[in-house]
Amino acid sequence: MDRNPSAATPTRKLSRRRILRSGAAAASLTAIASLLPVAGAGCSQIGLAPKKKMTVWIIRSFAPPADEVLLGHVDKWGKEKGLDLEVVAEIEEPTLNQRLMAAVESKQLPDICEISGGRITLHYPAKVFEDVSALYAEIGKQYGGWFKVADQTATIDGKQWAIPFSIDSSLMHYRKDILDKKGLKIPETWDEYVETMKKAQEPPKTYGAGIALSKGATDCEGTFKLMMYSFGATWCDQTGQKITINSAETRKFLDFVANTMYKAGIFPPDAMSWDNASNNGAYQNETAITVHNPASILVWCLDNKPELGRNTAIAGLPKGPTGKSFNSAGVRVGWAIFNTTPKDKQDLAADWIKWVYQKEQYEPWIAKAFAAPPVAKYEQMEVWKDPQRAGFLEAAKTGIMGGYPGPLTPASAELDSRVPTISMILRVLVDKWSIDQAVEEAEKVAKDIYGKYYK
Amino acid sequence: MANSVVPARRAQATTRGWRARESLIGYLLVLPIILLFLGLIAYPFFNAIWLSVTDRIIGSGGNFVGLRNYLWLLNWPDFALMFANTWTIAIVGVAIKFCVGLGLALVMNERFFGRGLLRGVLLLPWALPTFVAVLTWRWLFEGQSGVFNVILQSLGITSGPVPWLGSTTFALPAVITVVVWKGFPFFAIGYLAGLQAIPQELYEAAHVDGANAIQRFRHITLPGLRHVIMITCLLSLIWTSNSFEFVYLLTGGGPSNRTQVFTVMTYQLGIQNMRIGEAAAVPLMFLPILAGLIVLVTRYILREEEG
Repeated sequence: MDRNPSAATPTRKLSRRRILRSGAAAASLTAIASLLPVAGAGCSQIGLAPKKKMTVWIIRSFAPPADEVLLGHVDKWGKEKGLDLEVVAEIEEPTLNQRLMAAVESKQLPDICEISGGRITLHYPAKVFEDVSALYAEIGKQYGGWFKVADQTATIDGKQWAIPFSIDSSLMHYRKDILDKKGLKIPETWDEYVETMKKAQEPPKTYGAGIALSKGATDCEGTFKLMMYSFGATWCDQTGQKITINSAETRKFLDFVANTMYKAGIFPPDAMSWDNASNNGAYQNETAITVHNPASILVWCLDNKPELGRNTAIAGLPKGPTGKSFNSAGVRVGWAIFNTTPKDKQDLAADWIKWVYQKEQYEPWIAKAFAAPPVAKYEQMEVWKDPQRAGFLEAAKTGIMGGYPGPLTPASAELDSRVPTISMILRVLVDKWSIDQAVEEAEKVAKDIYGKYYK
Repeated sequence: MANSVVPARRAQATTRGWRARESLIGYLLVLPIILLFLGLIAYPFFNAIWLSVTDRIIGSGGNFVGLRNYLWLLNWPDFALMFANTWTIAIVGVAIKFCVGLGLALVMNERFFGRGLLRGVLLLPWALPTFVAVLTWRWLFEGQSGVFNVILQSLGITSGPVPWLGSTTFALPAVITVVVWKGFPFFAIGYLAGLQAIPQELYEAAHVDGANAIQRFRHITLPGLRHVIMITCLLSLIWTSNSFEFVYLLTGGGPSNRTQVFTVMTYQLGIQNMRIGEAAAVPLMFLPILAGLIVLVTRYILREEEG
């Protein structure tokens, strides 16, 4: 039958097929739409979008007033440059460090990153840092030269990979008022320290040694490592390639900690559950008579408990059987530029670093921070005339670094991340291992790590 | 004749075309979920298996090392302790949650003034974000300024602070306490719903027959809740054994490794120590047991649906 060309086209009904077809189209469009932000970010990366957005990562420290100064600087600089800054400000451990790990692994790194010295060394093998040797030389020349610690941290394989911004040192804080009241003086050796604390403390109100006994408190790793050095024991030799922990000196150190220091009852009962903020809290709450800490407590006291600050005496760690005592120094924070950042943003990042290093920006920040400057010019500031703060500046210039007695290397940084010294101590204290067993396990762990780097 | 063959062939072609279009539409509709499954489940899973047989560290390449990471784990002195801690927290936690949850469900199933309010309040632990709840408990357990120690010392029960989270005696029980506190409402609400589905006539008939409360509980309530009990216990066992925040925020696996569990170990190895090859091996060691539990739950649910 022929079709009647004059017949009107019938109205199309909503059929099941049409519904299914529409649903499939909608689902596909939704999937594509959800990928658009990712595509947009990609376009931005390859330069198709306006280049005004930069990501900045800032470490929140234990000195919040200094953090606010720095964040204010970031905001001001961003406005002056007409940039849209996405600022991430978080505490280092565990938050920002873990975020940085993920960023290094995925190569999705920020444009400007505040980074601690240990992280520079730890992530160097990932080859994500931009060579900033020229900028480093320029700033060093302009500001009177870099301190040794800053230079050794930033320099790997003959080039510089970050710009140090401050140096951190930990010193012993003593409750001078309590010691004076009991007719005690600041101890000079670890044996004297134990006896002094036994006499000074009044448990359960106060305990002498506000030092954590926990792998979660990385502060105590630093304290016990320095103490171990004063006993003549080290993790590696001067080349930084051979493990030397299995020694009579190490055993003597462990014996002292377990059988003299711990059994004297001078640690707070909950020291094994402390984190990095706990020793600060214990000193600030006046339940610990001594702590080993950077100047963050003194900075806190200025605004919160000035009298506690005045009653605090600052001293280096006591001496060990070698007759020596050791203090640490490490780059607290520096600025890293990554090689994944586009060149124009790298230039802006360099501009930021030069700008924030200027006196108008740097001095207000360092005065409120609890660290020392890494360059000679800023040691002339008024704040270092305070005898309490002066000790931290001196330690920053003369303290030893991670990797001692060898250089700071990726191997030593990776070993440090395992908190090996406190782990060894806890094997004896908690797991009731013999000292020999603890030392042998520590040696195995260290050799396993160093074996990856040095054959 | 030709006229009747042509329409038949045209009809067949039309049908085939229609079916092909229907199939294509079907594939397009399931495509998003397949992509999500491949991207978020299949790829990470097989990538983790690959990582576990390499010596990869974060940011750098790695080499194939076979089963070295697994052997290292098995030879690690605290592996057995970690295994025991994981399942102790899960099994003991689930057992206590079951008892507390069932007891509360039985109480809430009775009529009394304020029952509605109590039901709401009892849901709070479960509704609170885990992070917030665990940090609050950490403060309660705190050594010198924690609430528990302040109360105990002011009542003269203890002479000094008890190191709840820093003691080998108390650390694991403290973790289990928080796990139970956070999880018992899930059991209570599930069992309450189950109780309300049991016909009252059964209880009335049993009462008429002279059954006492314990007999009614044993022969009516428990069998009536059998399915809910199985599901809640199995699911909770899987969730609790996989949990991370409780141990990480309360003890960090310490003191030493006395409360270490495989989830926290994975995090510490992979994120803090950068050894993602070894970190990937840790959860894969526990996979057979978890997979077994998941198969049990799935088979039970499917059997119930068919029944």
